[in-house]
Amino acid sequence: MSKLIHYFLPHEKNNHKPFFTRHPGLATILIFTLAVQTSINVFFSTHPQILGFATSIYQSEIITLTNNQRTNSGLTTLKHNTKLDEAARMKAQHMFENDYWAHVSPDGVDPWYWFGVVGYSYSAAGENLARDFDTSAGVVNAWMASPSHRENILYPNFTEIGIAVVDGNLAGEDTTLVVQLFATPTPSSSLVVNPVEQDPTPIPTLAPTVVPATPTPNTVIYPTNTPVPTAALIPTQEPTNQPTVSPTPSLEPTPTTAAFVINDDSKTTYQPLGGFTTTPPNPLSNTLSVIGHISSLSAGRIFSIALTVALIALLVSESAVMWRKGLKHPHAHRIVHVGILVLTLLATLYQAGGSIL
Amino acid sequence: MKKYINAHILQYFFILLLFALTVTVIEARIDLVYKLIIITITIFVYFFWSVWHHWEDHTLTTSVVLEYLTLTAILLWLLINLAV
Repeated sequence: MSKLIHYFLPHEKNNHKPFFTRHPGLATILIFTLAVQTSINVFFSTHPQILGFATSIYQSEIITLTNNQRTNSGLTTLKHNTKLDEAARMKAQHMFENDYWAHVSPDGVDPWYWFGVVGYSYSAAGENLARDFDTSAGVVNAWMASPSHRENILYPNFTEIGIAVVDGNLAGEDTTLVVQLFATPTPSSSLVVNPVEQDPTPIPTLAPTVVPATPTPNTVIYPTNTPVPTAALIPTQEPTNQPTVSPTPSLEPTPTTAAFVINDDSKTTYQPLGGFTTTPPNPLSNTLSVIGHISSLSAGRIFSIALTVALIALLVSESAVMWRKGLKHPHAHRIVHVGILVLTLLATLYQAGGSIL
Repeated sequence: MKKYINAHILQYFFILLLFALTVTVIEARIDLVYKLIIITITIFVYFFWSVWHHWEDHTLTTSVVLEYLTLTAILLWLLINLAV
């Protein structure tokens, strides 16, 4: 016990300055920190199978977690469709290649364009995007915390899902993009050879039986902050595989809203979608959920948080004991140290989230 | 103690503001090189401010300088870890 007091609390025996707030103690913390960081780097570089890019996000986990959310809400689960996976992968690749982070690219390519490219015909579709997350649970939690993304996940008519988790460099920053596509296939698309159950190299003789699944959207609806259907409608052009250009850029989705579209030959249905969340409400829970599937980045982040909390506790307890004993504090700018550490801690916790679109 | 803090409150405020701005820059989507430059500048400013603060206070000793060297090194590691 006296050893603990010597190391952590001010006392007559340590001249009211515990070991870990003196330079030998701080040097010990620094050496320990560097040793832990080196160990983390060495461990993850020698176990490459554990590494994601910078994350531990898995397609199957996102599908499972999404379906769990639907099951909890009494909805049917979504069927995994590899065509949607491919559309999502192409969308993510397009964002990396053209350096943008949006539902609609700067040159007007909207999310539904990729459905056409892979030959998927739909009557309703939705898109959720996420970046800079560490875990699958973090991504799904953030989407569920945003009303518009949540509405996509819990839209009862969606029956199929596709996910892409793609690493790359966006605007000079290494990141992992997650693209989640939902869809309700049109009845004709049931005739489309479903690559999920098929051989990846289809026999050419089967090709004529495949119905071309070019999307034929009548009306594309982008959610807006204010649910005014007339303002949110963007008429599309003739069915084409070319990018559909939005004639009114001002009506493009706000940066924190999920994308949603309904194809209906007879009528247009407006789905009011709103909600604006860029980070999960509780970043700490995301950080803690990392423990299941740890990556080098998240391990380093957890260690940073632990170290910062320990230093704050050390300085605060030292000041508290000095204050209680009525001793004049030799270093009043401990307040600044604590302030700096609190700022760093908050930033680390904030970063444990990511952003969604 | 209160009198001491009141006399230096402005200095404390500016140092905290400097770190708040640095952390904001780290969170922004800018090139990593710029982030590292800003972190280095902040750490240097903090170290020299601390030494100057103790010198002004007539409490500057080798032990204090070493204490700040190790503390700023830890802060540097934390901020770089935050930036990458």
